[in-house]
Amino acid sequence: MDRQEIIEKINGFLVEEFEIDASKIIPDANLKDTLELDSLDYIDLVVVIESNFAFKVKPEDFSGIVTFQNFYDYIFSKIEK
Amino acid sequence: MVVKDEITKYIPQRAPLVMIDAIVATGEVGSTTSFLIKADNIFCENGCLNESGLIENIAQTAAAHAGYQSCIKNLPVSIGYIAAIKNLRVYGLPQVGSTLNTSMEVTNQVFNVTIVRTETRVGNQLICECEMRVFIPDTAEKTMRNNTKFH
Repeated sequence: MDRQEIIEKINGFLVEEFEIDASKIIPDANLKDTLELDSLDYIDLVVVIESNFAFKVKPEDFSGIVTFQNFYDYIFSKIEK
Repeated sequence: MVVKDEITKYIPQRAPLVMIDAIVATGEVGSTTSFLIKADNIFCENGCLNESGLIENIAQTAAAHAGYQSCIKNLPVSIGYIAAIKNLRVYGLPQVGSTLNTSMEVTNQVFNVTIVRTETRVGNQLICECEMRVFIPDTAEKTMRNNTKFH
């Protein structure tokens, strides 16, 4: 799976899980604000990451994630290890 | 099998809010409880247990599982808190005199939140199912984490 396919997979589960318009997902947009994430939504986000990419997420992993691009890069860094 | 007189060792609720009678099966990642619905139950309306009663039964099943697992490991029983309920489906309201059998399985552990999937049946009939997120601090949370099966 190349990076574009991974991005499409990520965007697909974000649209499904958080019921947002796919057009709002742009790389430089703020992840938390766009998805309107509260603390429990982060739990759901971790569940979909872990179930789709089979690695464990740590709480501190989110500290550097602001934009969708940061989120993509985080996933890349985990699955390309 | 845990009899009713012992069930309050594993859950924080007390009468008249005790909504499980017994743990009828238990293992590392899940448990099943039974509960006979009596006419004087505070969650009964028009001869049926209402939705709030079903949810309370589910929550106490999860609590009993965590409490029992803590006890057999000689750990203190901590209190868990319902953080969220997802995909709740109630297919019918059980009548007074019927017995609920509620099964729960820990499906994931995310930070301090344990995720459990539950099913409630009367006989073979599925009454209710949901996914519950339970915040369990400290010792009991660690016990649940150790018993969690990750997908």
